[in-house]
Amino acid sequence: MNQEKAFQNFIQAIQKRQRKEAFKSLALHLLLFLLISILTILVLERWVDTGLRISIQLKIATSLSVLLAILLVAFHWKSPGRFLREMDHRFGFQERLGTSYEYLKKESIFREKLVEDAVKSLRSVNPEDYFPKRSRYWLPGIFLLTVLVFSLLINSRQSADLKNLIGISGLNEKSSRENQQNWSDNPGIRRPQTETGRFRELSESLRDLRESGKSPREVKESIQSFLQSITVQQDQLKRKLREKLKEAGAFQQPEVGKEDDLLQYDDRLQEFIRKLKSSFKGEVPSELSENLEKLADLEDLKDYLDETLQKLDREPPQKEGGDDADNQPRKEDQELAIGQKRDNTDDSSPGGESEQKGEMSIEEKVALKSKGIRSDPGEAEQQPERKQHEDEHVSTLPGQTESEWDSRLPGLTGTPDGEITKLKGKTGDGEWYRSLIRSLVKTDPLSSEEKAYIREYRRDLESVLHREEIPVARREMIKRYFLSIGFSNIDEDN
Amino acid sequence: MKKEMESEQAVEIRESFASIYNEISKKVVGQEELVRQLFCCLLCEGHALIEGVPGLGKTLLVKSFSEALDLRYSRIQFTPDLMPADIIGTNMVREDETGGRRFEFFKGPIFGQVVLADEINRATPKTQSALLEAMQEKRVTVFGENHILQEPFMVLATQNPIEMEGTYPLPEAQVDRFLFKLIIRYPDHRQLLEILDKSTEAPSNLKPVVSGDLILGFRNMIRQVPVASYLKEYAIRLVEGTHPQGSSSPGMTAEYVRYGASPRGLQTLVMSARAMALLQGRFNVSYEDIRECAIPSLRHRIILNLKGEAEGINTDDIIKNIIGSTPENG
Repeated sequence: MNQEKAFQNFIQAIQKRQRKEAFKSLALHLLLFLLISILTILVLERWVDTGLRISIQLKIATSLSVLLAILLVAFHWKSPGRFLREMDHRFGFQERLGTSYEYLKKESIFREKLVEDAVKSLRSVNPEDYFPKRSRYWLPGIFLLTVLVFSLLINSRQSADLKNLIGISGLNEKSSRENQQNWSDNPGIRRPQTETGRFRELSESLRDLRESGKSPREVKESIQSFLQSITVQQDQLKRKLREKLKEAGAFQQPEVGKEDDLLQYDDRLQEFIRKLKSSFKGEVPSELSENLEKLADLEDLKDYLDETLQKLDREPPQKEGGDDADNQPRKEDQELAIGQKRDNTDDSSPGGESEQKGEMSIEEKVALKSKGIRSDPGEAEQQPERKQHEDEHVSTLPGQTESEWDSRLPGLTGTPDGEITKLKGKTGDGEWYRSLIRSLVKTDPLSSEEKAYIREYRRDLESVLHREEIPVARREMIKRYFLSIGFSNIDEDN
Repeated sequence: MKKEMESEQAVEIRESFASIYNEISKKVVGQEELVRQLFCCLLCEGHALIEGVPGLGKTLLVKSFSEALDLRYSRIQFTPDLMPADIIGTNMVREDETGGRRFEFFKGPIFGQVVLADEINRATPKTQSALLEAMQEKRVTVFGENHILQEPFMVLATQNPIEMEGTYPLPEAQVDRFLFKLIIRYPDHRQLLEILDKSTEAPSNLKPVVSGDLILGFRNMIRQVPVASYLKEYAIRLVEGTHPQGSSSPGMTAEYVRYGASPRGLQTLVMSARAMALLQGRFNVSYEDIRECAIPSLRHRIILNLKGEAEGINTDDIIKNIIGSTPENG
C-alpha cells in the first residue's frame, strides 16, 4: 500500500513539474519565435517591400509567435500515462511504469507486485534524470540569435521604428530621438539613418573609394558626379511625383500649396509632406508615399555627400599623384612645413621663434590635445578656419603625424579604371538606388570614335535647345544632366 | 491473503523454468530459447509444432521435457497407415470373471500428458484430424462415450521440412490450432562438441523438478498478468500487419501474403507474451515480450501467395518486416 502511495505521489510530482516545464517551454519558444519573426522582417525588408507598416508586421509576427508557441507546447503536453511510457522507453523499464499507472484503478492479483516493481525501477534512477534535459545549445542559440537580430536591427532601414516599437530606443539616443520625431511627424514615411543605416554602407563605399588608390581630386570628381546624377534622379522623381500628385488632386487641396512649391521645396520637404498628409487626412496613397520617401532619401543622400565633400576639402592634399593643381602646396601645408622646419632648427634652443609666435607643429598639437591641453586659445579665435581644419585632422587620425596621414593616402592600389566597383547598397531600394550607385563607377576612357559620336550628339542637342524655349525651372536640371553624362569632359579632353 | 499467495507463486515460475532447464540441459545441449518457448506453450495450455531436419534432437528434447516435468510421456510415430483408433484407443471385447463379455475401452497414446506426435505430416488427414480434435477439446469420444484427457495435456508434433513426398501437409485450419511453431536449428561448433561428449558418455537420468499440479497453478495466473492497453494495441497492429488487405500493412505483406493471422493468432500472441513476462520475472507484459512471441505464434498462421512461394519467402522475414515497420506508439 505504501508503494502505491509512493507511486501516486510520484505521478502528482510529475504533473506539477510538467506544468512548470510547460511555462518555461512556452516562454522560450515565444522568445525564439519572436526573434525569428523580427529576423525575418529585417531580412525581408532588404529585398521585399511588403507594403505593410512595420508595426503591423510586428503585430502579425507576435500573434503568430504566440499562437505557434501555444500550439507547440500543447502538442508536446504529455499526460501522466504518456510521460510514464516515455520514461519506460528512456530508462528501459520494460513498460513497468505505464502498466502500473493503468492498473492503479484495476483489480489484479499482480497490482501490488507490479507497483512495487515500478517503484523499485524508479528508485534505480537519479530523480534529476526523470525529466529530459533541455539541450544545452538552447540558451547560447537564443543568445546568438538575439545578437544577430540586434545587429541587424541597428543596421536596419526601419530600425528606429522597430526600436521604438520593441522599446529599445535607448540604444542610440541621438538617432532614436530624431527618428522618433520623424516617426511622430510622418508615421507613414520611413527615413533613412544617416549614421547607422544605409549611409553607413555608403560611407564604407566612399571610404573604399578613397582607399582604392585614387587621388583626392578623382574621389571628389566621383562624388560630384554622383551628386549630379542624384540631382538628375531627383528632378526626374519630382517630375513624376508632380504628375502623380496632380492625378491624385493634391494641388487642389488648400493645405498643400502650388505646383511650383514642389520644385523648390528642397528645404521645406518635411513641411510639404506634413501638409500633404494633413490634406489627405493622414493617408497618403502608397505610390505617392513611396515617391516622397525616395525623394526624402535622395535629399539625405545629397546632404551626406555634401558633408563628405566638405570634409574632403578640409583634408590635406596628397603629396604624390594627381594633377598639377593637387601638387601645389596649400597655404596650411606651407605653414605646416615652415613650422616643422622651425621645430627642427630650434631643437637646440628651446623657446625659439615658433614658441614666440605661439605656433606649434601638428605633432605637438596632437600630443597636447591628447592631454586635454589647448595649444593656443588665441590662435583659435584668430584663425578659425585653420583651427577647424586641424581639429578635423586630429579627430580623423588621432595620434598620427602628417607624414603618417600621407602614407594613409597611398598610390592608388584599388580597382583599375573602368572596372565595376561594387558598392554596398540595398537591393530592396530598387533601380533608382542601384543607378545611383552605378554612377560612382569610373568608366573607361572614351575612344576617339565615341568622342566624335558624343560631339555630334551634343551639336544636335544644342541646336534643339537653341530652338526650344526652355522653362526657367528646367534649365538647371538640363544643365546638370549634361554635366552628369560628361559633356564637359569631352571639351577638356579636346 | 490468497492474492498474496498467488503473486508469490508467480515468482516461482521463473525459478521453476530455471530448474527445468538445468535438468533438461543434462541431456540436451543449448536450446534454452526453445525450452522456454515449450514451457511457455505449456503454461498457455497450448501445443507446439516443432520443425527441424532429422537428427537435431527433437524427440530427445520432448522426452527430456516431459521427464523434468514429471508428466506422463507418450509417443506416436505417424505413418500413412496409422488409424485414428491407434491414437485415441478403441473398445475391445473383454471376458470378465463370470464369463460375460463386454466392451472395454483401451486408451491410446493420446492419453499421455506430453504427447509427441512424431512426423505428424506422414499420417492421413483423417488420423491427423483425430489428434487435432483431442488437442482442441482435451477429450476424446469413442462410441459416444467421452474420455477426458488428463491435465496438463500438451501435444508436441514434429514435422520434417524435407522429404515432402508421400506426406500429408497439415491443412491451414489445423496448423492454426498449434500455439507455437518452433524451429530447431543446427547447433554451433561448441554445442556440437558438447553434444558429442554428452551422448557418448554414460547417460544421465533426469528427475522431475516441477509437478503437474504446480503447472496447473501457474496456468491460472497467466491470464491475470497485466497488459497495458497500448501494448494490446501494439499486438493488434502487428496482427493487422499480416493482413495483405490492411491499410497499415507493409509492402512485403501485400506482395507475398495471401492470408494473414486470425484473431486466434492475436489471442495466442498476447497470452504467450503474458507467460513470457512471468518467465522473465516481470509482472507485466512489455513490448519486448510481444516481439519475442510474435514469430513463433504467427509464423504458421501466415499463408504465402504464389509469388511468395515461388520466391521462397520465409514467413519469419515477413514478421520481422512487420515488427520493423510497426511503431510502438501508433
